[in-house]
Amino acid sequence: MSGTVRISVVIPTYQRRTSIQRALDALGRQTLPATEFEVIVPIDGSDDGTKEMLDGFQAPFRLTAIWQPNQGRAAARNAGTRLANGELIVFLDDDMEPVPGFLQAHLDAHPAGSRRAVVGPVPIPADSSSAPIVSYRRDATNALLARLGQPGYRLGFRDVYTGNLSLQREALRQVGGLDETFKLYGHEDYELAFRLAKAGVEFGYSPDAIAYQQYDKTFAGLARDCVDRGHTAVLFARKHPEIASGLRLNSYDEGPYRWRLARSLFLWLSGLFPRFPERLVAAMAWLERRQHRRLHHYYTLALDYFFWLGATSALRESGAQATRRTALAALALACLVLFALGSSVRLLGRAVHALRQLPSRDAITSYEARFRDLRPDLPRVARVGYVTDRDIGPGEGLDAPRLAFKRYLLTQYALLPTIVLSDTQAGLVVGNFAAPGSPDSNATAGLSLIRDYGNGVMLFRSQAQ
Amino acid sequence: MRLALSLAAVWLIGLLTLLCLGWGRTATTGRGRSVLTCLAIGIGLGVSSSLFVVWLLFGAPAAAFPYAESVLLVLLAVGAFVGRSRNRRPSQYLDRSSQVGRPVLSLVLSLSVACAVIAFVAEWMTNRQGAWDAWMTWNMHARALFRGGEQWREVLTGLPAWSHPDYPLLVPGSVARVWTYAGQETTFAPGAVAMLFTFATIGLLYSAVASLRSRTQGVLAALVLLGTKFYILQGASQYADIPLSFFFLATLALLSLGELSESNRSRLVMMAGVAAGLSAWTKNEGTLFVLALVIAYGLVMGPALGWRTALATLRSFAIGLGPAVLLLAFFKINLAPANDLLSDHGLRQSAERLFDAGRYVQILTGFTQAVLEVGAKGLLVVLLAAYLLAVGSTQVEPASRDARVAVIVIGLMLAGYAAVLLTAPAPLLDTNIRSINRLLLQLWPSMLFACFMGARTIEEAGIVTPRLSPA
Repeated sequence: MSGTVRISVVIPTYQRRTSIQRALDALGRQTLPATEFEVIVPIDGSDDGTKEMLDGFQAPFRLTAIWQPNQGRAAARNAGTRLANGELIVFLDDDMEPVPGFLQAHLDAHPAGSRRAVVGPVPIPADSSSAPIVSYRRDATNALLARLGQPGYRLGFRDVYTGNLSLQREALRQVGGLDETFKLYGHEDYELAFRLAKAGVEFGYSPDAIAYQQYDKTFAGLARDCVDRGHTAVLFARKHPEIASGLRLNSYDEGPYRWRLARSLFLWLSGLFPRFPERLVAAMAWLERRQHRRLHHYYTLALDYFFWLGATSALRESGAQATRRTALAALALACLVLFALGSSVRLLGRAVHALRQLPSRDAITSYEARFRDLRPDLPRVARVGYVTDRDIGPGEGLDAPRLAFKRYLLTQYALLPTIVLSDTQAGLVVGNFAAPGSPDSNATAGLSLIRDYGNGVMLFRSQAQ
Repeated sequence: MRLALSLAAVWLIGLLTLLCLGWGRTATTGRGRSVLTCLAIGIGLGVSSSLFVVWLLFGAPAAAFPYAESVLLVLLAVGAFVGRSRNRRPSQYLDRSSQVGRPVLSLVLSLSVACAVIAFVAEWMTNRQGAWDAWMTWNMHARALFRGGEQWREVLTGLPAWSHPDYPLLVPGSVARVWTYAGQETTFAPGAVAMLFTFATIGLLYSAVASLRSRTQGVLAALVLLGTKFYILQGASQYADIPLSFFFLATLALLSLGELSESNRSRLVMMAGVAAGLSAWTKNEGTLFVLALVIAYGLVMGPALGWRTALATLRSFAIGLGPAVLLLAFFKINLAPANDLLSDHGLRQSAERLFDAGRYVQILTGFTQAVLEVGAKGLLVVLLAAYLLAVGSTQVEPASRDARVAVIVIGLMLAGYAAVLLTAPAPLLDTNIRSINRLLLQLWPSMLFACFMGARTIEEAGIVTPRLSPA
């Protein structure tokens, strides 16, 4: 299998051995040469023989399968992306059956230099023999696809789904991939799309990148998905509170009055009778069997109830956890802010105290002033010696040696560019004594005074020189 | 007047240098412009100081430097104008701020800034020439550059070892440059340079965290730095650790901004290289920082971005790093004597010191004392740790990744400091141990950057959140 891989198709799968096999068969019939793409299948904890099937699968393209404990679709997609070699990533759900021109269409939707995320249609094939829930989902999907396919329609992050999506690997890497805290069904795609939009990625729709969705869920399965979607909607809103006001979560009080009343009643009953949701699923199954003429309407209402069941449950859970944790965090925040404020006030107090006792000249400038008259008499850029009292006491909060050292340093600092040596081995020697006019005779032995500048500052000539 | 002119020129040089390097290719928010403003101050001080030293190295008369700098300003302005991009990509900075509590935090921040400015000025007026190390090393070297005239090399290298003539010249160069503009020595110059670096660091910490995470997060980071009394007072004491902390922070912030801007990443990383190079030209610890950063970046970004991308990024970093490193290398080879802490490192002697348990105790004690001193007797560290534990760490990328890079850099730097002290020749002096607090101070703004990049924002932690119905 030689050649450069341009596309990496990532298909996370969970307990759908037959579906994934169908998807791989369809990928084997692509018009794009098999050397130009690879398929990566992260198996998200399946124990239905998917791994064994994939191990024996004879694919014309490079196929990689990895198994990981069940962590959700986001983690599985990230695991697959990490193994990808192609510059373009195509995310595909495991119940999809792409048409032969599918990958070529995705490739064509990404011209050089573009920075896009492109979704393709995911129509659900259904006829009169199909289960009613499949027809219901087909109608809903067709309505979505009709909207996406409208000329001039600008896709927003809520139009993006990862069931049939292509984007540059670099863009995905830049935003850090999918958020793996989304372990339940739903919203991980909106969340990714929201961050992609923030990172400047444009969204597009490729009508030719068709992948048929072989819908095999029952109403009970769809209801479970809706409960999970309610949970993940809360997670999404908590992660991006700045857009929470525009989400479905904030539409609880919208819609017909009668339905809002019924939904509230159902949610209240769910609190009283934990098995109420199961009873509702059973009731829907009965309506399905009766082929009730308003079945689609009841599907919509029931699924809306299941969404809110998940959302209210998540809000209660996160509320209970958050109350304790956020109270702690808020307390810590308040302490931190108060500490900062307190420190600032203490700094201000120190400043006021310092300003009240401010001398006309700071200590170093005052000390330096003693050498003002000496400096012009010294040769520029030359070395002179240094002599001071042999017996200097402690002072300025320093012990005697440190005080003597500090005074020597200050002398050097004041007399630059003349270099002051710490001994008397130069021709000229600077004297720096504590008391004016009476240099330490022991210290000045072998030196002859040239000039006394007052304040204990003197210039000597070394007799040895 | 001339002093003000020289400081205005510094900011313009910084601004135009960043624009020439391609800052303007990403359209930025107001906070992005604040990042640019603060960066321009520090980068301007660094670049102008380096140019001044290069000017002196070429033997040109110092008095002519302001004219040469004027010409450079015109050239940079032309370069920025020619290099400006009409096709700017939209802002990619994230904003997850909530309005809740904003007025209170803004008020507290304003009060803290006002207190810090007053405290800085008062401290400077008490000690206009700076504290011990400031006048003994940095202002002494500045005087050598300024007073030495054409013989500045002889004066600088003639200074006794206790003045550390091997230390790089960014801070002395900045001060001597301002004196050259003013035509005389004035204590306003080192004070102004110190003040610019101190408050540019605070401003950069606020604006970078605000741009990369959220405004409230930026305000909190700035508040903690402003509440670090030791930092403000050391700034007023004119220690070079504050400029060094600016360049450390600028490097990390620019790398993080580069992570968010795919179209402009290489240019922002190049700017990060410039900042890192200037850190090496500020103090010897800057060289250790460059090494630590390359290792940390490789460790985190190699697996995350792929080695090819990580190496390409490091290449851009090296290009930015180059000029300052060349200057540093020239200085170290031709002018500077060997460093007293790094010289006399025979393998056998170093190994012997490694088995000296007393040294470990001394260094550990030094670090503990430093933490207590920087962190207001440990209270600030405890409060900060409690806050970080309460809000938890963020899962948001690339902020989490950037925080990991910063944490590894800081860890490597601390290990490096400890290793140098551990293997230093001769017994460790009290002054070595007492100066550990300043080593910690150099890293303090970067530590806060890492903390507030890696922590969840108050919005993410749910301290403030819009009410979701039905709650």
